[in-house]
Amino acid sequence: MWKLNPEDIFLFFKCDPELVVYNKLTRSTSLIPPSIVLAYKIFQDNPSAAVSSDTLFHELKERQNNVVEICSVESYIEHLCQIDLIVKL
Amino acid sequence: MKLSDLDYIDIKHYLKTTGLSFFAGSFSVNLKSKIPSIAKGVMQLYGDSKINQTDFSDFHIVLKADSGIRRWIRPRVEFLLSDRAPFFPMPYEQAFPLLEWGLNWCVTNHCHEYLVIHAAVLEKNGKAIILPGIPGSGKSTLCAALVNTEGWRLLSDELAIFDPVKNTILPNPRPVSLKNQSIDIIKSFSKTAQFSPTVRDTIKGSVAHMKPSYESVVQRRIPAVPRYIVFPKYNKDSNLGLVSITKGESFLELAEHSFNYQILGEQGFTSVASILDKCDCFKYVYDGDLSSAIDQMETLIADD
Repeated sequence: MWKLNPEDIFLFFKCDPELVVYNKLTRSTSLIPPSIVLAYKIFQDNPSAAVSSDTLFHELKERQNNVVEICSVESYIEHLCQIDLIVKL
Repeated sequence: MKLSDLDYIDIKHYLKTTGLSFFAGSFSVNLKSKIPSIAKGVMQLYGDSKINQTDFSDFHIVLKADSGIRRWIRPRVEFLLSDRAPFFPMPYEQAFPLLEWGLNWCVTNHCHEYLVIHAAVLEKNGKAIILPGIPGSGKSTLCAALVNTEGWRLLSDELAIFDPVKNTILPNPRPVSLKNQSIDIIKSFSKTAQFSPTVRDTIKGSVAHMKPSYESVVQRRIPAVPRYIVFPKYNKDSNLGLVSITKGESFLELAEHSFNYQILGEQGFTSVASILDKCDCFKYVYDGDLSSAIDQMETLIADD
């Protein structure tokens, strides 16, 4: 299960469909590609809730008309964790 | 009063005594040197620059030749900023290029109230095009060609200086640095442009500097609003033209080309974001056909 990290440690530059994120603690800048932005939005829609990979998979399937694979979801989670946008519980 | 209002004897006198105080782009410089190529270079390429008649200068620079036996065996020149030498000495004949490189270093290392990006910037009809690029990308050649085209104003050939308070680019019109084949290309492109003598065997190869246009220098206090970011890439076998790229990709590229993005931290991030809010972004692959390149840039400005 994963949940959203507090957003106040980040700065965002929204450039749909991409997102650029600046982490104030690590001073690093990351570009999030469109597919991962979609996954991140699911976490944002559930700010206080823990989200499992299964939930994320089903939500993404719904939002992307079934075009998603479970291995992709795992890589999305890994990417979001790497830049600290979400944290493992 | 401009530097060209002084004669060569006066310039040499100030350089040797109190220092010559003038505006090199947007920054005031007090320059001292006994080296003749410095006096000649300043007179030839900074003639339209204003003399600074105040006591304050942003940068106090000395270019000093070796003394003693080194004067005769492989003489060298040293760049001093406020009596400190940030670089190793360089061959004596490279004194003027060293002054120009040193001035760039002064801005990139001391002006952290701005976001400084390694890019040429030109403006036409109130719209600025930022041309970030690594050496060899064709940035300076394209910049020099545009400067010699009617209606284009040089803000800088090397440093895009973004003011995060005013959200504008600070002009820094100084001589345009040309390297290797670009020197002859621009000499044949413009018969009226003025060039310093070519200095060979520098760390960047052969180097010559081109005088900025009078219009660019006198408008040094007029900032410009960024409108386009174009990443040029010279490829002799390809002329893809302008290809739109995403703002996300451009963000990372601009941060990469910036000298002080990491130093500025959050301010760096918000500055790049502010630039991109106003700009459309392109990659530009060109084969060195400058007429075609100028047409493309003119079309870009006119389309808006």
